[in-house]
Parts: sequence; C-alpha cells; structure tokens
Amino acid sequence: MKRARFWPLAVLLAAVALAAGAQAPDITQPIVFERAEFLESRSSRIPPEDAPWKPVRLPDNWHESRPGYSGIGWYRIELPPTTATRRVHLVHVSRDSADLIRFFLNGHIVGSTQRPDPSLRLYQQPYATGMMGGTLREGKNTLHILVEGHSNLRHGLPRVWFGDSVPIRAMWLERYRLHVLLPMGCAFAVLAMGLIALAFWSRNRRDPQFLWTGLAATLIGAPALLHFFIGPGASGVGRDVLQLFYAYGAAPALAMSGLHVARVERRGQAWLLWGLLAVGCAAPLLLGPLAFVRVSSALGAVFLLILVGVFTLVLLRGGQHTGWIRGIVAASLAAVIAFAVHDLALWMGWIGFDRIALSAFSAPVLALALGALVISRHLEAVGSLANANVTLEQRVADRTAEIERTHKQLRGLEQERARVAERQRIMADIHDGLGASLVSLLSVVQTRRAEPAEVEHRVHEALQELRLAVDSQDTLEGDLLTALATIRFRMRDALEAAGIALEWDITDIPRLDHLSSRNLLGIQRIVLEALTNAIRHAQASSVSVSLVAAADHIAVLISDNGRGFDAAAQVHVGRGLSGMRRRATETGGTLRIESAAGRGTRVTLTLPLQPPASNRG
Amino acid sequence: MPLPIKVSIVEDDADTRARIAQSVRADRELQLVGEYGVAGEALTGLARQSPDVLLVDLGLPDMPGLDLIRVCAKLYPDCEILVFTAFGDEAHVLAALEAGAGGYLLKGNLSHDIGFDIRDIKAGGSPVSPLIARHLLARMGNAKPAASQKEGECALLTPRETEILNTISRGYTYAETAKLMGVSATTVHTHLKRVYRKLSVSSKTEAIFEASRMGLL
Repeated sequence: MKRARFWPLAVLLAAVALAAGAQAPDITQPIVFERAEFLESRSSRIPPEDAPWKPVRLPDNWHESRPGYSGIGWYRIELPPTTATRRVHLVHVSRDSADLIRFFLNGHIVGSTQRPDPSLRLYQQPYATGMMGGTLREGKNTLHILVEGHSNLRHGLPRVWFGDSVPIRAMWLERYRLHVLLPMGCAFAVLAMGLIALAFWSRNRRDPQFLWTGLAATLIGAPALLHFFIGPGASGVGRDVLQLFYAYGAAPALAMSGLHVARVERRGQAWLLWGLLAVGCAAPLLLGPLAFVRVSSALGAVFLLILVGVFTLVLLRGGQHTGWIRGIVAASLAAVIAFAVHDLALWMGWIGFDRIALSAFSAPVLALALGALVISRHLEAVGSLANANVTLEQRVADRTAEIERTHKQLRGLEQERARVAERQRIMADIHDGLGASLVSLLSVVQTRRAEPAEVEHRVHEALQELRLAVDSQDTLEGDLLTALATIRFRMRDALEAAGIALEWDITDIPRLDHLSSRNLLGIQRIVLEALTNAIRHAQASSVSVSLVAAADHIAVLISDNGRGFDAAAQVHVGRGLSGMRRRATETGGTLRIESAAGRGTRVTLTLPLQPPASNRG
Repeated sequence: MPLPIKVSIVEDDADTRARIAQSVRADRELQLVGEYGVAGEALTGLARQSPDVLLVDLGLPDMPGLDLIRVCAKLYPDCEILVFTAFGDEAHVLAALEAGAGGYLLKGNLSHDIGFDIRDIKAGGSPVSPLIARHLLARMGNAKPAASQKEGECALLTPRETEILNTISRGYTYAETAKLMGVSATTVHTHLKRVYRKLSVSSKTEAIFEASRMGLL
C-alpha cells in the first residue's frame, strides 16, 4: 500500500525502494493514523480534555480544511492499548510541513521540529521522534500535536505513524533517502557532468553545445548542492535563491536540451538556447530577493508552459535527430512535466498532502538528457571525423586524377606542337629540295630542248631530294654519324657510276644533342652538294670524306682531287656555294672552301661541340 | 653453266613491269617465269612456276604487298622475295623484312644491271642502309651497355652482329666493314642475312606473344 503511493517513481526509483523495503524487519506492525481530533487554539499549552475537539481526517491541509487560518492548531490522537510499554516507540510524519510541529505524549513533550523559515513550507525532510521505554502507559495513551503554520503556505499535518522503533525508523530512513539523499546525489551528478562538459569546452571552444550544456548543469547542480548543505541553517535571500534554483533550475536546462534536439541552432535560433539559460539563471537571482512565496508558483507555471512547448517542438521537429537521443530527451521532458504537474496538484491540494514532491527528481532526469546529448555529440564528432577522413581521401584522389588529366593534356599539347613543327619542317624541306629541283627541271625543259641525259640527271636529283626528305622523317636527334652515313649510302651508286673512289674516314663522336633534325638535314645538304660538285664539275677520280674531332669543335672535310677552281674568282658553277654557306651558318657552323685551279677542292664544315651561347637560352 | 635463276615479277605499273621484265630477259643467267599485275594472278601462277626469286611491289591494287609477302614466305620458303621500293626508307624496308622478304631493290636505280643486284642479294641480302642498321640495333640489340644489362634480358643480336650494324650505321660499306673487323665480306653478308631472319622470326614471336596475351590463341 505504501509502495503504491510511489508509482510515478516506480521505474526510476525501483532499486532504492526495493532496497529500503528489504531492510524493514516486521517486528510490530506500525499504525498509521488517518483520523484525529483538532482544536483551534492560540495557546501553546495542551488544551483540556473537554475542549471542543472536532474530528478531522489526516493529512490535514489547512489550505483546504481551514482557509485563511494562521497560527497554532492542536491535534489529539488516542493511541491504541499496548502491552509492549518497555520498548522504544517512535512517532513519524513524512514531511516537516509547518513552521513548528511539537509532539506530547500524555502531557509530556517528546519531540519537536525546528522552527524554520516560513518559506520552507514544503520542506521535504521527514520527521520522527522517539519515546523512551517506559514512557507509554499500559492502557490509554494520548498523543497531542501542536502545529504552528499558515494555511496559505499549505501547512498542516500529514498522516501520523506510530509504532515500534525498528520499522518506523526504517520507514523514516526510506523517506529520508528519497527526499534528501537521492536529490543530493543527483545534484552532485549534475554538477559533475556540468564541470566535465565545461572542461570539454575549454579544450574545444568552437563547440558551443558543450558550453551551454556545462553552464546549465553547473548552474543547477551547484545551487542544488549548496541548498542541501547551507539551506536548512541559512536564512533570508540567499536561501530563497538557492531554493528557487533547486526547485526550478532543471526546467530551463531541460528545455534547452529539447530545443537542441529540435534543431534550433541549425535554424539560426541559437539565441533561444542562450535566452533560456539567461532566464534560468536570472529568475531565481531576481525573484529570490523579492518574495519567493508569491512568485514561486507563477514561476513554476511559466516553466511548465515552456516545457510543454518544447516537448511539442521535440515531437514535431526532432525527426532528423538520432532516434534514441530524441527519445531520451522527449521522455525526460515528459517526466519533468509530469513531476511539475504532480507537484502543482500537491500544492493546490488536489492530491494527498503527504505525497512526495517530485520536482526534486528533475535533476537526475536532466542529468540523463544532458548525458545523452553529450554522448551523441561525441558520436557525431567521431562520425564526422571518419567522414572527414573519407572526404579527404576522396579529395586527394580527385586532385591526383586532375593533375594526371592536366599532365596528359599538357603532354598532348606538347606532342601536337611537335607534330606541327615537324610538318612545317617537312614542308620547308620539300619546298627547298624537291620543289627547287622540279622548278629547275621545268625551266630546263621549257627553255631549251632538253637532252634526255640532262632530264634524267635532274629527275635523279629530284628523287635524291625526295629520298633525303624521306630519310629525314626518321628523327636522328643529333646523330651526325648516321646523317653522314645516309648521304654516303645514297650517293654510292652515283659515285660508282662516275668512277670516283670514295675514301670514308669517320671518327666515332658522341651524339650532338644541340643539332636538330633540321640542322642535320642542312649538313647533309652541304655534303651532298660538295659530292655532287665533285661528280659533275670537278672531274675528280677520288673524293675523301672525313670527320675530325677536336677539343671544342668537329670538322667535316670533303676534298677531291679534281681540277679545282679559282676560289677568289668565284667562277664555280653548281647549285651555289652561297647556299652551302647559308646552311652552314644556320647550323651554327662555319664553312671554308679552298680550291685552286688544278689542285682540287676542299670543303671544311666546322661545327661547335657545344651549342652556341645564343641557343643556350 | 649453272641453271638460270627463275624470276617472277609482281608489279601493277605496266611500264615499270615491262622495263624490269626486259632487264631480266636480257640477263642470260636469269629466266623470267612470270609477270603479274595483281596479287591474285601471282598466287595462282606461283603455284605452278615455283620461282627462285620473286620481285614484289608493295602497292598492289587487290592486296597489300606485305600480305602477299607473308603468304609467299610461308608457302614457298625456298623462294627469295625481294621488294621494290621507291626510297628504300627504313619504314617500308623493315616492314618487308619482317613480313619475310629477303631484301629490297630501289626502283630509281633499276636502270642498272638487275641481274647483278639479284645475284648480289641472293648471295648476301640487300644492302643495309645506315638508317636501317640503326633501327635494327635499336630494335633487336640492347642499347644499354653490357654491364647494366639484366640477366635473362635476351639481346637478339650477337656482339658480332651488333658490331657490324654499328659500323654500317656509320656509313661504311660491307667491304670496309669486313676489312675493319678483319673478316671476309662473305662473313659480313652471312651475319646480315642472319639478322634479317631473326627480325622476321622475332616479329612472328612478338605477334604470337601479343596474340596469346590478348587471348586470341
């Protein structure tokens, strides 16, 4: 029956209740008095037996039974006869529900509560006082109870328990745990959580969630704890403020949690959170010094409305939040709302006067909600870190691909440019070589009666030019040796046909990287021209081609033993020494032609081993 | 007197074909057994005549000259296949050699004694130009010095062959090469013929390897 009264707490406090229940040894069944006799009196002396006592029901809430009453009232209870007079007996009330409650047994005072401040009208501490063995008489015993209080403060007398000290003390202890120790422990927990959250925030200041969570928890936990330690002894404004924090602090903090779950921050409404925090702190601080008693219920009603609103928000807008977080916060809100409604009912006298006030348990509920949020924040942070890693890897891969793409593009451009340059070179070669030969052939055919031998010679020349152009498709890349060898190979038949012996003396030289394909073609043309001249004009019987390497240059020498010419007089015919000179200059080399009548001709092409300074860039 | 060398010609240009045929007929050591304008005729004709030397032009109307060379090289391994080329450039020549040709003739130089050329080629393969020698070195030899050469990396060319090609690429004739190396001209020819064959075989091996890699075999 007793346990049935705590049904709203059953889930949360089952363990505590079970532990308390298990401790109660059933020696003598305690008696609960739900009826008594009441006498209005201004005297603090026990009224006489024959005064006009009127029967009342317990608990007797003066706010209901005698509105407007203020002062002293007397209760009289006839204890049932007992034989166990030698045992210690206790009388117990579940709440210290008046300014003063004083117990008399058979006219002798046996115990009294302290006289606290009127503001502690719902002071949760249970009270029990003992009667020494032998104090009870055999037969009739009368208990008188003096209650001093105010009806508007919901003062009165709870039900009175009487019985053997062992079960009654167990009863008192259980009540004490629930009303004092548990809320105290919860205040500790909330304070600790707040400090942890603040420590987190101090390490990572970019995350305001830890700041407001920490501030809210600390501002609730610290005053609540202070309330337990200095509350009963303190007086005045300070305790009022503490009391307000204790009674209503959890509501705004929990509302903040709810707003967070409803994603106000993501909607740019973070000010709501800070506003609530400010209200939660400012209200007790400002209202405490005014008149706690009068504003208290109004403040409770305001917070109750806020909580209901936030609860609705969570249900409507919390959809995007992780399911279990939303569930925990919503359940916490529901629990605190239920507690507040329960206490409002208690306060208004709608339900039993000596029920436990549940608002004190808002703190553990709050702790649960805040803890859930902190854990969810942590999980979110871990998740986003993993996400960030994945994103980073993805970005690196993307960037690498992009670089490769760019590189490929650049390479493509480079190749395209090389192709264009190559095409231009081929066109120039064909224009200078084959084109010139064909034009010359055409003019020969047009201007005079062409002799077959002359035409054949010109066609051979054109074909030779074409072969040279075809050969130069093969990128020789500075391979001067192969370039010279190709000329020899091409000219071999012509030399043989002319009956000219060729002496070939080529030194091995390294690759000359500064000589482009165009340069090599120019050199080939110079050698070709020199050999052609030897065949066609010099009437030589032998030609020598040699390559000489010196420290800083190489020289290609083409000499014949023909009839020579007067170099100074420039009477030489052929396709032109000036062309040979121009090509030599283009190649970066110099050309020297030595000849004298009857003493052969010697052509010397000198090329630097290193690229000329102007070309080095 | 030895038996005349039997020669067949596949050339789509009638004038050129006639001129070549005339040169062949003029030579007493050569016997013209067939002249064809398209590859199809040639393939039917060759089956009957089995010539010793087949002269092929690369630009035929009905079939790529290289394909004809490939078919003939397979069908008549004893027949020497020579290719006509206008320039003797390394791209055409190497392709022909890979297909199985034994040498090439420069079209522009055909006014000379074709019998001499044919005999010369039959004896030792057609002349390797410096550019071709350079390509053969790049393709079949190992450009790297022997010290850095990995074990198992097969160089197709022997040191001797490499040396010969190197010398030729610097413009020396076969005779000069032989003299520089202290061997006979015939030895140089033999070496070069072997290089030609290796090229043909290696290209086949490469083809088989490629085909098996692509899952065709």
